[in-house]
Amino acid sequence: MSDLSQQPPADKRNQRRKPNPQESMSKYLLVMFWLFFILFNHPISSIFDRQELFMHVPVFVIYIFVTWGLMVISLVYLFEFKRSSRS
Amino acid sequence: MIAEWIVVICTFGYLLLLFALAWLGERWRERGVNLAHNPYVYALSLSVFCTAWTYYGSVGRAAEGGYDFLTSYLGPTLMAPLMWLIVRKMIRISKVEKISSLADLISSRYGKSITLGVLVTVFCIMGVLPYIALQLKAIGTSYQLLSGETLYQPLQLASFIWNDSLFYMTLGLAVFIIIFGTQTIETSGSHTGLLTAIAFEAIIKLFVFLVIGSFVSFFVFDGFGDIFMRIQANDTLRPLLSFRHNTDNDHWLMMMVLSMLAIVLLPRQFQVAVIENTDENHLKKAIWLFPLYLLVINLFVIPVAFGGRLAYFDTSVSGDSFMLAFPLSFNQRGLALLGYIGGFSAATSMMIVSTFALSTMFTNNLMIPVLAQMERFKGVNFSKITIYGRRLAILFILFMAYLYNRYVVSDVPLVSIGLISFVAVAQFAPAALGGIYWKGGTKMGAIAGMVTGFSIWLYTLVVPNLIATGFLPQSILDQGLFGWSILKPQALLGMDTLEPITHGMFWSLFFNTTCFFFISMGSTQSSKEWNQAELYVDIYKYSVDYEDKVAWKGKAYVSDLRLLLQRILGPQRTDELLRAFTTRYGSTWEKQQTADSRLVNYAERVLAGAIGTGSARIMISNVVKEDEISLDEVYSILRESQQMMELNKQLQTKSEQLRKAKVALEAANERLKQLDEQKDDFISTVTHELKTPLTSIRAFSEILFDNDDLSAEERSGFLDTIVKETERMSRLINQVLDLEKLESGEQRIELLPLALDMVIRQAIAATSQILEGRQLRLHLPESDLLVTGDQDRLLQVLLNLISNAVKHTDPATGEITVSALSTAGSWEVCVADNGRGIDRENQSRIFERFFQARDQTLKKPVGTGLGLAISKRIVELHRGKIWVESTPGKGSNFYFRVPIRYTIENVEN
Repeated sequence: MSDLSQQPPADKRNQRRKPNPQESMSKYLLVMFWLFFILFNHPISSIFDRQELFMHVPVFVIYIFVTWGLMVISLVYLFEFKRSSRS
Repeated sequence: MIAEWIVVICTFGYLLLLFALAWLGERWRERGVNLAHNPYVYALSLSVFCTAWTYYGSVGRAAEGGYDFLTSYLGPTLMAPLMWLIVRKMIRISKVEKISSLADLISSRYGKSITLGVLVTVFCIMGVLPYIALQLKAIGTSYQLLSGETLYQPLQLASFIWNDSLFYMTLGLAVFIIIFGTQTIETSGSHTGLLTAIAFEAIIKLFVFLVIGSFVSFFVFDGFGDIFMRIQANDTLRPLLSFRHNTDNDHWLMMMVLSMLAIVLLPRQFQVAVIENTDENHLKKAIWLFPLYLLVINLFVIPVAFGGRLAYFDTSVSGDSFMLAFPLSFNQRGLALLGYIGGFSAATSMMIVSTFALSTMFTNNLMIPVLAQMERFKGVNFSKITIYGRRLAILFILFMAYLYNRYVVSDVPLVSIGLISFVAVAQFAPAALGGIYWKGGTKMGAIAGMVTGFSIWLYTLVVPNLIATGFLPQSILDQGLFGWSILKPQALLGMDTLEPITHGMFWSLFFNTTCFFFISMGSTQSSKEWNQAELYVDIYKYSVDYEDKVAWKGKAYVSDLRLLLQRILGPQRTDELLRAFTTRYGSTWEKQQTADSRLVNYAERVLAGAIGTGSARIMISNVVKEDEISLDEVYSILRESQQMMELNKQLQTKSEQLRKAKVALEAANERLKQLDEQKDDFISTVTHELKTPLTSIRAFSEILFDNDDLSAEERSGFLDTIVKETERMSRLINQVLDLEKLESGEQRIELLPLALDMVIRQAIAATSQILEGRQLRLHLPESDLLVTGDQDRLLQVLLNLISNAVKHTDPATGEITVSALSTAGSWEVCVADNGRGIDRENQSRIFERFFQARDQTLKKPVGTGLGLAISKRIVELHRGKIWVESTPGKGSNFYFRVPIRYTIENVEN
């Protein structure tokens, strides 16, 4: 019994092995926020700031809308398909 | 271009449609289908963010050359992932604390402060009223454009209010909000009709925008490529394609942050996202559907804006009216009417929700707290007063917005009024967000931050507009207040590098946040504030059994509480709510005269759901005699509940430990049983082994006793056998005792440095007597065989192995070889013989006790059967290993290995 009492409680040991799904979800969301925040702002956006057209559409407009679309897709993935969001 | 009466009929027809839909929504709810409890309706209702500003203003802004209109939609999109963290927490707090508005959320966090509730309400009305006026302006302008003679001659404003169609439209909206928003006194989750209409409007504005956008892009022009290529070919318009020609990066970043805050803190967004939410999981849909909605509604903004610049180059048609100008120019009247309805729906959805949210704030955080403290209103039925107060507030707000639009808003573009409004609500960010994530925020800090932020907002953003309309002298703008240049409204403290909106936002939020944090750190919280701070920040921990967690001390009568609830919620609803309380906590409260803290907290909470937390606090304190509660008591109550949870956790851990201990005990019991069986087995074998010599001793003794006539030779032979059997018996007993001592640990081996070769020589010398002609060879290395071990015990092992070899070899041909060699870290000794060998299946069992005795294949036992078992035990005690390699018929090699452990230097030392 003395051995058992020295072990950390079972729930703590489990936490160490497997992070709480809510916590890992929060991490994903924060990382995602930062990533897209950087992508939508200077200086990254300045790379696409040209007066040229790509497929007859301004490069900057294409960049913003494609990134926007990617963000929506990532949100769909996180909230509809990822297992942790359903648990 | 379109007869005015047609436009009027369409407008009121659309309003009637909204009434019908809202009514249907309510009817369905009564039949059990609650549209408000649907994730898609919830997601669509968030699109109340897209107002006439989006519909007309974005196009106008893009046409002037700014991509910065996109920040208003990219901000909310970026905020979407964070909504799961921030808005979900706000929803949980609001459900638990029965929050009815943003003002309520903030005032409740800081100890249910009435002052804060009043401040937030006043600031909200000041900040949002121009925004509602802006919607009316958009409706008015589109109405004038549609009913005017030509595109360049819009209809003139009616000279009197009662001749103005816009006035009647506003009135119609007011009636709609009154009917569907103020049916019951309770503020959350009961406005199905309203939400149904809002969701419908969300679809209409998106649909119409896409239709007009497609019309411009694919009917007027030949696709997106056509528009952009024409722009590129035009030297004047080409700079439109580039971002840096029109917008600077600071402005872009600040606007994005501003709209991120707005999506959470605008009263209408807070109303639909937090108050009207019926299930936290609906957020999961809204988080991706809402950004998708924003993306789709913005797809055609740039094409329509750029197309407009091409089509109305060098004309007076403003960008704000491109959405209607195109269908009108191409004589598509039906499409123009549809476009007008789209804009109307965008404007009305915002007006409905904003006015409703502001009216709730007005009654719950301004009117009732003031009235409840007046002597005259003690004992009055507040239920009716609240509902009528709300209705009056709706009429008042919309009428004020109408007047603001008619007399104040002149030629200010749609976008700037909207942004000024955004900056106003951003002032709630430090107190609201700081309040739900930082326990240290105090009431003083929140008040100081907000008042400072709003003062700067007024000075930097509203004053310049008042100057422009002639209410204030131009000199303030040019030279600064009192002629001090550091007080110029648009260049405060000499900062003249930012655009006016960015400038106002930066300074107001900077001073607001600084004041909030520093004054919070320098001031102390009351016990009530402390309690609320703890509940807000750790809401997920306290959201179950909330009534137990609010610290309260005092005396209240059940009858008083019941009466109070009846005065505000009506007798029927009071009975329902008290029944719910009984179901949850039992019916003991009914038998007692005085109410416990749980009932008081419950009553306060249900009242808060109807009249706001601040008002509920006042009402409750009117009927209960409350004692001031110390911080220690609040702390101990919260601590107690935390301890309970901690104990619960510990109990779970303990039971898990007990379960494991039980498994371990079962295994140990099993092992004990096995050992017991082995012991029985051992005893029966030993007795059997003892019985054999005993039987022969007895037999020979009896023969000697009964037969006196035996010859001396025979007598001596028998006696010799008796002596030998006795020796065998005592040897057996000694070995059993020996083994037992070794196994029980009673007999310890003494580990000392010794030379193994010496021991080997000793053993050979001792066994030389029993060789009887067998050859014995010795192969030892030249160096000393230094090991750590027990000399007597190792000698015993060697004697055992050599005597075994002797026993199993033929005296004439027998050859025994003892050799030793060094292996990694140990010495390995081998005793080899050329005897009959051991069968392969017996090789692993030969070290078991009494193996030989039980081996029926042997004709005659040649030992006790314990020698190898003892040897094995001794070698194991030396941390060594013993084993046999044998080929039947060719002999056996017994090996044992003893670790060296000591170097020669160690031994010498």
